Amino acid sequence: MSEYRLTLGVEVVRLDDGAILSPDETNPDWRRYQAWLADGSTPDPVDLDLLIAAKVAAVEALYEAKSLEGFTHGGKRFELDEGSQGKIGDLATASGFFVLGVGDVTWDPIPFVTAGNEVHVFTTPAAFIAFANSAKLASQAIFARRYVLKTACRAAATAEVLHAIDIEAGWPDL
Amino acid sequence: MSQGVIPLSASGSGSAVRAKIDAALQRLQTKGSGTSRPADIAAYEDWIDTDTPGAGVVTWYLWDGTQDIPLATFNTSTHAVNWLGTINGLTPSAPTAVGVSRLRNGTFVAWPGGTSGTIATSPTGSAAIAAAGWAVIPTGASVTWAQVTAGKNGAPQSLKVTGAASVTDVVIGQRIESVDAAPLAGQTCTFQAAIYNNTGGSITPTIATRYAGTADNWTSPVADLAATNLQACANAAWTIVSYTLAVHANAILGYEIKLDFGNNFSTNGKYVQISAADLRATPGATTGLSSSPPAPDLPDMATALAKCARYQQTSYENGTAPGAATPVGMVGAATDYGQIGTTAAIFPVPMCATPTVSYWDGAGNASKCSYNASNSSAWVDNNAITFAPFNIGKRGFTFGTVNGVAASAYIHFRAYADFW
Repeated sequence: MSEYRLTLGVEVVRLDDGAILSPDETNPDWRRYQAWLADGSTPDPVDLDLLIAAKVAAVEALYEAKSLEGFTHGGKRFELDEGSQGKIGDLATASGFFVLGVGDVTWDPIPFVTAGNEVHVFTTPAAFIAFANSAKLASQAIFARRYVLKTACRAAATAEVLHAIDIEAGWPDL
Repeated sequence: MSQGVIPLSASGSGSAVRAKIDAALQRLQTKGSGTSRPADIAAYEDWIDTDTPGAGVVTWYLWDGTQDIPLATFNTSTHAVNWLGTINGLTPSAPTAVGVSRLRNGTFVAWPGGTSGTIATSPTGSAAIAAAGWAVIPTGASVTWAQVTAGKNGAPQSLKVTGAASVTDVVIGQRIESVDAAPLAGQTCTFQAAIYNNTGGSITPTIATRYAGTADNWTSPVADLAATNLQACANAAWTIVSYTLAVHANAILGYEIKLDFGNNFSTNGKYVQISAADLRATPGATTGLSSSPPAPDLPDMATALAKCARYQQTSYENGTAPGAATPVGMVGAATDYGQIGTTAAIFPVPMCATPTVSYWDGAGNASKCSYNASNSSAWVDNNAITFAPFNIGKRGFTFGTVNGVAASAYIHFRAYADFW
């Protein structure tokens, strides 16, 4: 039975007490681990749950990156992070209410900052609603890819299956 | 030459009488020197013990008919004399000590492992440590240790080590980091400690020292002072044990002091306490047993705690054992719901080496974390952690959010980098 287990990084877990050892020849615990290896012993592989958690975290990071890369509308790129999505949703709702004549909603041209930090002005409610619709479709597309990848990672029964999941591939071209 | 005997009867043949006269002359010639007191010694006769305290230092005793009274020690290499006891009503003056004690926690105020515990035979790592810096090494069976909030010789506290059935030996020791041991290297140094003996009889602990094979690497230490008797410690009393030794120049690699209390701990009613430990250079002092060591160097509490943290530190209060159920002192970070985040635990004192890190949640569950959900003020314990401590270094480490639950993650930790 192994006395140690590998981790995702350079650290090693000592199984009898869960202590985490790091490479340092001046640490006696690490030297004992090195002597244990030198005796021909083999540590347990990385815990699958840890691998899954790390890969799910990597999917989350990719999703965040894709959100910030954003989508193209009218030849310009716009971010899709949570803040942008909320603002687009609020303004689209107001634009729709104005078009439908609901309540006393007023409408003025909407300046909106692009991913390139330029200001693009939507001059009609219809133009902004079309923009919001593009944002919704783009957001749903990357959200769906995130969901598929995370579900696949969590369902992986072995490290090999998990490793075979290419989390870089399949993201929609927005 | 033999120790000789003094025959009280010279009857016999001529050659036999001559042999007896020779033996008597040998006794006078050698001053009764040997590894034990001459069996036929008379009251008020003196003799020389050639292996006490050992390592080239002999002791001159006067036998008063009941016990040996140590008069002086002689270094057979340097020919230095160390007069013992009181001379013309004056106690020999203490040697002048240089700098601060090179021992950590000589006042026994730092307790990163809690205030009591059990140490098994052949302990390694943090499992060997009782009070900060002080390893306890039992043979035969486990011993228990405890903080005693009273000390001796100016130290406020002491470490108590209690025996048990089958315990055949107890050793208490400390390994000094190379950078701190350097001022001792090649110097005449004096060790001292206050010992309370409650084993039921007089004991004579020994002192032995070694230096590290390479800097701060104790895989293959090298003996310096072989096990040497310290002062006899009467039962139910405190005794100041002290020994002056010539420390090897290689102490610059790190130095170890071990006190061996012998096979005197066979029940859980037998114990020793140690307090006021000190090791400093004392240039010019005579090597051997020291009856008048300098006053011990006893640093203030803050200094002691900070110094000990270089080798072992925890997120718990001083005196709280790692794994205790308490949220006080936990380190961590809050994250927005739905996010994954990591944070860093920064050590208040940089450690001597990359430490071994253990962690617990606030309820005392090992390798788990607690979180405080963003929509609740309640602590939730016993959670797996997404990112167990990583990027571990001498200044701290990184760890991260609860696995599967997007919330804050808090842990207690112990970072251990001592030399056992």
